[in-house]
Formats: sequence, structure tokens, C-alpha cells
Amino acid sequence: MPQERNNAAEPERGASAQALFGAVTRMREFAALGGLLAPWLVLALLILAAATLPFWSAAQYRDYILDLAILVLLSALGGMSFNLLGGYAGQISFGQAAFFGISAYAFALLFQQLALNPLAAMFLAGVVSAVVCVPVGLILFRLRGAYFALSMLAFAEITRLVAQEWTSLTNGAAGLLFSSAFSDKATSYWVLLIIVIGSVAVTSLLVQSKPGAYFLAIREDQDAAEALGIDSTRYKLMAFTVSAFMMGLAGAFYASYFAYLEPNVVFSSVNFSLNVIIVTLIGGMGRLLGPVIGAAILVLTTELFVHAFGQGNVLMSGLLLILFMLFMPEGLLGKLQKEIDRRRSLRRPV
Amino acid sequence: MLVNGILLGGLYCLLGIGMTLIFGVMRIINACHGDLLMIAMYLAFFLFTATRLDPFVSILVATPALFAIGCGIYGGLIRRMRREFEESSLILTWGIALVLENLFTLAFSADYRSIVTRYSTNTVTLAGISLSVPMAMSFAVAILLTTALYWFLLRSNLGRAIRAIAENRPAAQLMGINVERVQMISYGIGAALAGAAGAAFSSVFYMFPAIGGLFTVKAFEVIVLGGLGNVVGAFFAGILLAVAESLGAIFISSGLKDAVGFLIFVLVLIFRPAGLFGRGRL
Repeated sequence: MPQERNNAAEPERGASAQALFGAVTRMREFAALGGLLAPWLVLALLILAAATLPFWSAAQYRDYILDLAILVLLSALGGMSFNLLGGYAGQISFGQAAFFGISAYAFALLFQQLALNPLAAMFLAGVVSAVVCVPVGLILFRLRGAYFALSMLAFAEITRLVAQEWTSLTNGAAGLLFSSAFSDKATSYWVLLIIVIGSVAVTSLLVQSKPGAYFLAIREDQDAAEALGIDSTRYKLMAFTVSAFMMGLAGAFYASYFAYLEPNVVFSSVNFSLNVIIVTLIGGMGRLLGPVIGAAILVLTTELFVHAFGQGNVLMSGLLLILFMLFMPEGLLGKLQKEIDRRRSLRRPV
Repeated sequence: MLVNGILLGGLYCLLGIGMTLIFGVMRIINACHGDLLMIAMYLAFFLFTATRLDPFVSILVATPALFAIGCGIYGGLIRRMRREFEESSLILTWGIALVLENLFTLAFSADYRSIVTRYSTNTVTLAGISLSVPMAMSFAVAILLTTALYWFLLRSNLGRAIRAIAENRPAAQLMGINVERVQMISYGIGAALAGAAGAAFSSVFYMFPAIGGLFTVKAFEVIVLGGLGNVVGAFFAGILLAVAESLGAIFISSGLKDAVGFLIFVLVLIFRPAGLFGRGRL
């Protein structure tokens, strides 16, 4: 703007004013376009920043930063799995750890015993979870609300105990040790990043499609949805399968990265079933990017807490859970949306 | 073995009745129930080590203490919660459980502790069956408390108010019952029962902070078996579960006995959602 004013000659005032007006209009149009494109631009920049993280993070902290980033992405992936089933389809599950553990062991067996390509093994391990969830869903979707949540918890505990006792397959409580799948931390990170971005994309497409609308209908009122002719079990099962597949990918990635499995760790309800709930609650249930934001917040606050006090990371999770349940049950993104809606309604004359 | 199973049932009864009372009145599945019991166990432990107070005497301390803690948890946390979705209270109380468990781990470490009294290893022989003394005494306490609670719910005004809320909340409110206050008291009573159970059984079990989660799960199983909100059902279900577990440990394997419990839990939820004993009175 100042540029233009300097260039305009003094006597031709009207013409310069017109030029100025035109410029402002053009800038307004550009800004409107920018407003439309901004979310995509931000998203692209974020993805770019995340993808190049191994290059620009300070060399001496690189491994530490990548470890944290992997933890964030892993929690986010689990959270998205929970969010699809619990946040969108309204079926809150307390047993996502079951799929995490099943796929972790499936990956270990496929990768080590059958010497499969790690990416193929990861995919197949996810499929194993997706297949396992079908009979479980067919039986447990007869239950609703808290009863479904608790019976999923029971299911996860059963899988944990079975994994512990089935020593010929899992080596029991002694644990299963194998060689890690990717030699380089950065490679692991990129693999996980691609899985997470893919999961966001799939969730986004799914919830915008027709089944996605059915999920919301079932969440809001299952009886009403059924009265409208929606086969609730079928669509719950659809959400459950995708959710179990995502959780399975998370479990398989965990196995490929840590290369050590123990039933009490990978089937742990606190580590995984609860963790994914907290992550989703912080970000906001039924919000596409809620789990990603929640995961970043949970992992970083936990890390700070552990740095400050040396221990008590689960204590931090519990505190966050209580605080969000009491003061912001709709999560950060939910709160943001409410705030935006409120401002809009204030600005617009009714 | 079987008889000891029944005696352990006394513990499950107290836990289950407390939890089912809380559920019946408030529709809250109290996921920190076992942790309340854990607090009482530690209380009994520290009373015992500091003043040599017998764990059975410390019931008199633990019960009112846990009543107060329960009222505090309800008034301070649960009452303030907005019900964004149906499972909110379950998630909130699970969070409380995590915080309690980890606070205790930080304060007292994850070590196993136990109370060793003069009569810890004594047994009495009754009709040819030998019983462990602390176990039998705990069971007697459990029966006593259950009976007392039953009479309280049936006969006293407060008990009537509690049952009225469980039956129909808006109607109870219209009849002039202070619903919030009675709910707080109900939660307190549930916690107090867990407290009594914790003190009574503190001489039977090893205690460690994570034990709460184990008992919470048992309490879930008991209330589902007995029918949610059904106090009498919870009593019989507690004993039934204890017997089933000891049978499971004998005939299947001790490693999978908990899995049997979970399986029963899921099966009952699916096929007998009102519990094994159908719909009874609260």
C-alpha cells in the first residue's frame, strides 16, 4: 500500500484513489481466497514440517526428538482408532489394547517366523485385528453404552491372559525379543507418519460419506436411527473394523519399533486402552484432528512432568483425564468450535 | 478350598453392594471402588504399625474415614461433572482411580506390605473343616455389615430416601428429598463399605497400590452377576463369584481363573442383562 501511494503522481488524485480502491478490492478478494485456502495451507505446512523433522531437529537431540515424535504419532494413531468408534459412532470401548496386542504379536510372528517384508507384515497384522473384531463386535454390539465399554475391557483382559498362558506362541510373560524392522529411527518415523496421515485421510473421507452420517445418527440416538432403517449393528461393525485396523497398525508399528513384546505391556489397559481415551478427550471426541492435538499435549506434558519429578507419568494422565472431564468434556477442539460459533452468532444480526 | 472361597465371598459382597448402591442411586459405575478399598487397607496398615491397633478394630476408623473421603470425591469431583456422554462418569472415576493408585505408589512405593497379627496363621476347625481365623472374622464382619445395611435401607428414613431416588429420581425430588445430599451420602456409604472391607481384609491380603484395580474388576463382575442396582443380588453374586473362582482355580488353571470370571461377566451381560437373579428390589 505505501508503495502505491508513493508512485501515484500528486495532480492525478482521482485516478490514484481509483487505483488504490482497485488494489484494496483485489487484496480483499485475495484475502477471502486465502481464508478458504488457509486451512489447507496450514495443513500442508504442518505435514511438510513433520516430514522434514529428522533434517531440521538439532543433531545432538535428534534421537530424543524423534522418540518423542514417534510417541506422539503412536498415541495419535491409537486415539484416532478410538475416536472413529467412540467419537463418531458413539461406541466407547475400554478395550482397544486388545487389538494393539493382537497385532503386535501378529506382526512379530509374520515378520520373524515368515520373514515377511516389514510393511507387508504391518498391513497383514492390521488385517488380523480387523478380522478378530468382527465376531467380537457381532456379540458385544448387543450391549450399549457403559456395558459395551466394560465388556470390551473384559475382552482385552481375556486376550491378555490368553497371551500370557499361550507360551508356545507368545513365549508368555518372559516376552518375545526379535530384531527391529527398520534400521534407522528416521525411517521408522516416516513409516509411522505416513500411516497417521493415511488414517486421518481415511477417517475424514469415511465420516463425510454416507456411512459417516449413519455413525453420527447411531451415536445421537440408536433407536431413532434404527427406526429410520439404519442397520445399526452393520454400521457399528464398519466403524469397529476400521478402528481395529488402525489400532492394529499402531500395535504392529510398536512391535517393529521396540522389537520386544510382553503381554502385560502390549495388552495393558492403562498403557493403551486408557491412553487412547485420554488423547481423544483432550483434543475433542468426534473431531478429526482431536487425537493428534491430544497426543501432542499428553506426550509433552507427561515428558515435562517426568523431567520435573522423575516419575509419575500415569499420575499425569489421570490428572489430565479428571481435569478435562470436569472442565472441558468437549475437548480443546470442541471448545474452540463452540467459541467460534458463539462469536459468529454475536456478529451476525439475527 | 471351597469354604475359603465362600469366606472370600464376604469381601466381594461388601465391594459389590457398595458399588451396586452407587450405581442404583446415581447411575454411576464407580471405577475407583477398589482404590477406596486400597486406601482403607493402607490406613489399617499404618494404624497397625504405628499404634499396634488390631485391623478389626481399625474398621471403626476406616469406615467413617472412607465415608468422608467418598463424600469428598462425590461433592468435589463427580457432582461437578457435566454429562457430555453416557460413559462420562465411568471415565472420570477411572481417572480418579489412576490418580489414587499413582499417588500411593509415589508416597509408599509399589512394595508389597502385609499385616501380621498374633492370630494371622491360626485356624479353627468347624465341623471338620479348618478355617483361617482372620478370613472367618472378616466374613463375619461382612455378613454383619450387609445385614445392617439391609435394615438401614429398608427401615430408616434415609434408607427410604435412597431407595426412592433409585426408583424414580424426579418423583423423589418432587416429594421433597434433597437429592444431591442423599446421593452424596449414598456414595459415602458405598465408599464406607469398601473401607470396612479393606480394613477387615487387610490382615488377609498383601497390599500394594495397584491392588485397587483388581478389586474394582471383581466388583464389576459382582454387580453384573447380581443385577445392576440390586443389593440383595450383589450379596449372593459376591459369594457365587468367589466360589466359581475357587472352583475355576481347582479345575482349570490358576492362571486362567480370572479369564473365567471375565467370560462369565460378558456372558451374563449378554444373556441375562438383569443379572442372574432377575429384577429384585434395591
